[in-house]
Amino acid sequence: MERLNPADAGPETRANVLTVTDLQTAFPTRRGTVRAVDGVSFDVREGETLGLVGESGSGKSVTAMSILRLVAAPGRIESGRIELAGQDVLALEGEELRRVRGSIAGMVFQNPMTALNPSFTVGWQLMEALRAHGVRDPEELQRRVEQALAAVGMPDPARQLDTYPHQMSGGMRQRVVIAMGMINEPRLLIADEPTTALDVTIQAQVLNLMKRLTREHGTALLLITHNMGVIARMCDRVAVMYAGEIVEEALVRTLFSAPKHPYTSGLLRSIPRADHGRGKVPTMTGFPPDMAAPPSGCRFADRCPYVVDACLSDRPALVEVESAHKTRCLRVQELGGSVADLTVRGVA
Amino acid sequence: MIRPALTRLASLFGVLLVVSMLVFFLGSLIPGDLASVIVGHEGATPEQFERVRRELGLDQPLIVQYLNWLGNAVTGDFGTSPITAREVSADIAQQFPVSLELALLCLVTSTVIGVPVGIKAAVSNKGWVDAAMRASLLVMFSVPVFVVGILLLLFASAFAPDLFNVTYVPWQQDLVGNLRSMALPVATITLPFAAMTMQMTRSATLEVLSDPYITTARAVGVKRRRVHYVHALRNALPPVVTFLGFQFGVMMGGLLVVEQIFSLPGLGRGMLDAINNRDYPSVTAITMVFAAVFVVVNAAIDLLYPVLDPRQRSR
Amino acid sequence: MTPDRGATPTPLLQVNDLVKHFPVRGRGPAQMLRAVDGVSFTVNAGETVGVVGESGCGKSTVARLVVGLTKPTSGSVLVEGGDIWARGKEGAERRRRMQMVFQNPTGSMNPRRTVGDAVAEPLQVLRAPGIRAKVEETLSLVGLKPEMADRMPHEMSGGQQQRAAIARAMISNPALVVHDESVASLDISLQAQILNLLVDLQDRLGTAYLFISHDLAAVQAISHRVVVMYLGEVVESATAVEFAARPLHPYSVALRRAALLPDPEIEQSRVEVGLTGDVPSPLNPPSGCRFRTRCPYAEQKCADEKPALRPAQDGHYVACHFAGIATATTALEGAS
Repeated sequence: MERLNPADAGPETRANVLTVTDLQTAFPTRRGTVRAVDGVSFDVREGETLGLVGESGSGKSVTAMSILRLVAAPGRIESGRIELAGQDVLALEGEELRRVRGSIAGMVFQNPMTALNPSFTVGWQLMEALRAHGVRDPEELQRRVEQALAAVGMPDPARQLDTYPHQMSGGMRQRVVIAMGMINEPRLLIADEPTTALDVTIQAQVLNLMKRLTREHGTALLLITHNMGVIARMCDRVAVMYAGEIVEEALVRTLFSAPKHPYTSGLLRSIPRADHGRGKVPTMTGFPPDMAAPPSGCRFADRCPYVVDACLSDRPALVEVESAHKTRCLRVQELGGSVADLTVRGVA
Repeated sequence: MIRPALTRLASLFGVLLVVSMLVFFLGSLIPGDLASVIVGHEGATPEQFERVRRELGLDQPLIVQYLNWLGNAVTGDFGTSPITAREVSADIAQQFPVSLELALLCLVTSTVIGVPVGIKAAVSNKGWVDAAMRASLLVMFSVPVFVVGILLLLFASAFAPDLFNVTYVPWQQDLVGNLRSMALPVATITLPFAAMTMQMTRSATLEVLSDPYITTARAVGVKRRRVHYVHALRNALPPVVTFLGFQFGVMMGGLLVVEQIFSLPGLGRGMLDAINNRDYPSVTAITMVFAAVFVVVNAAIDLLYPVLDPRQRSR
Repeated sequence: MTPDRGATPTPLLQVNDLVKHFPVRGRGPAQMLRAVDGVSFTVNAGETVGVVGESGCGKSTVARLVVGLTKPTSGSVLVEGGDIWARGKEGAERRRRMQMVFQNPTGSMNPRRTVGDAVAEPLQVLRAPGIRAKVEETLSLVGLKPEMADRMPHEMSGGQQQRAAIARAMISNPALVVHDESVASLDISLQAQILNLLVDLQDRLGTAYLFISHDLAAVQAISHRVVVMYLGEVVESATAVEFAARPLHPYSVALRRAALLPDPEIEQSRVEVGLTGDVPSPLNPPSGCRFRTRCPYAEQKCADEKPALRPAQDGHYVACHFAGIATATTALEGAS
């Protein structure tokens, strides 16, 4: 906690805490190999919050699980490089890998009802996380767990130690899950849909908490979600995933105001808003592709309003079109400007 | 905690009562009765026969006989054996510890083998360890107990005749000698029970291993072995313990064959002798003991449940 | 709370003072879970009424009560003025005028029967002539290819399954379809497709919807009127336009504030004044106003006296002693 807060430094000068390069994670299925993550590259800098957004099946959760090599068999990381605080995660073996988990990168999972072990008290589980990284002294265990519980806003932390998960509400359990992810003071917190299972008023509380904690400790946050509102609230930068690939990456404000990929703009326009009244929402047609046999060209081609012949045959690369703004679209130069402007003109 | 325990206790007595009725009334359906065993078929005059029946109360209506028996049974008096001419309860008091020891030893060994192996099999699900274990399980399970027992006996007498005691030695007398007399019978029934325990543990663990909190534990850096043997096992335990309790009841009842092969003076053998000799009071009494053990163990398991699973505890 | 517009004909659906209590048997004395506690509202023909609230507010129980999947403890559900639990054929006939679409399309369809059979189910005759044509017509109505009728449910994607579930609800030409979180488990792009489909179908067929959801944005996108529930009670009801502009109950305002907008300009400069604490147990709801334990404006009066649902403006009803004290815009103060 004494660490210099990296958030104080400018974003350009910060070092990467996580660098993922050309990651491929595959699952064998009856219908052939599904490459759920297919050539994904991104980085997370010290103290920043990167959002990884996409719909179900886009590969965002598999990406998150790949980072700490928690992909369940028969899923397998086929190739790529994951560099976490200078360590090559894919080259680590046994004990080395275990020591990285929780201490350099912590995780927060989606469902607080199932993410905690029902047979052990909250205090025991948090102590277990500390014990895994060499804390043995009972007094220190007790003190640090109480601290962690207080930090996530649990009333009366000392008493909560003997509480079982089922005796807590969903919001409280998710606070415990966050405390567990943060207790070893990792440099990166990976949160996979941390508020999806919670009620909206509780979601707001939990998001605020995560924002405050990561800021106070200078922890970088990789936030995986399908919810653009959560992205808007939490993130500095965003990477948009579609069909196993990152299709766009930009600073959060740029992404929402001037998206360059047709999928991003389509997604943004199809979100109903709580401050809007009744009315039709613009939609994208069609479905994401079958990942057992993905199209050889652009994976969004069959849903894209700007599709041309070249899109069907050539697989576009993720290119930086402006500073800190990457997109994977063959027609990005030609279409120019932002897709949002175009769509307003093109589709009424 | 108190209330459910009391309800449980009440229902326990209820079950035993029903069992006692079944045993008593079913027994009365068997042709012949105690008087015919005592007096014998030949050489007795009908008058003698009637007198014995009257002395034993067998001339009274069945329901009255039952109530009399029940009244005595409650005080621990199961009557006198017409064969040994001793109190049935005294016989049982001698036989029960033998069987109990056998069943307990067996429970321990099959658990010590079955649970870790089951976890190991679950962890290496679909790997060669799992395959090998499941194959050996099938073998152990398919060979009848008496075959295994006799084979063990033969092997022991051929290769290590001095290592095992062939006659039963009470543990109060000589603990080592006792264990030497118990080793073979325990080994005989341990095999199939360990196999079943393993299978049960394997499936319970497999189910638990796919639960998200296991991923949580791994993500926080808990050691692999600890994840399996502490985090997972604790959650796989309730079904396994229930199963073990059930097993224990089955074991007690399943001792007939083993006690016979290894000539152990336990309940199973007592039961077999009693049936052969039409020793009605003993048959009824031993059956009640089996039933009581079964019911008590299962009640104990039920009470143990909240200890194993915090969600079962009242707040 | 029924908007009394004098000459208005009988509403399609009237829910009057509906109560549903479930006995909870645990260790200790028996308790009553007050899932729904005196709920009233109406749905007019061809209209969409959205019911919004968080888990435990009783909205799903309301859905089941309305379509007659469960009987109320007290109160009544009237369809075109007649009780759905009237004896004999009449009641059954009224219940048949309503259909339901559930959250989980996979769970609501028999995995061993074709989609066509599932869709035809409400017609209660499977092999009659003309059924096939009707099924295919309904499938294309919801944007599925007619040949989907021969598929098995697991051969369809989640979005397609939900479309089939909607087709099943629509095939018998019901007057009212109750949607219980029917878009909750769908991806954003599919969710938008389904919401639009529902609006389209309503325009063409005049079906009324009772749209139950935890998602205020989805509710507002589809509803003519909005009903907000909290701990088994209605705390506010208004036209969607009115509600979008001026939610009056502090809880409605909190819901509005908590709903994140896809706009980093607003979100990142948000001054957070969200709700604290959790929803109290419906086993033992607070006295007076049930929201008072989490309400930043609660006073003694709120504990002593239960606020009635009373008209604040034309067609706008609210159950709060201090209605209007919180405003939706205060949540965004500081933003621009």
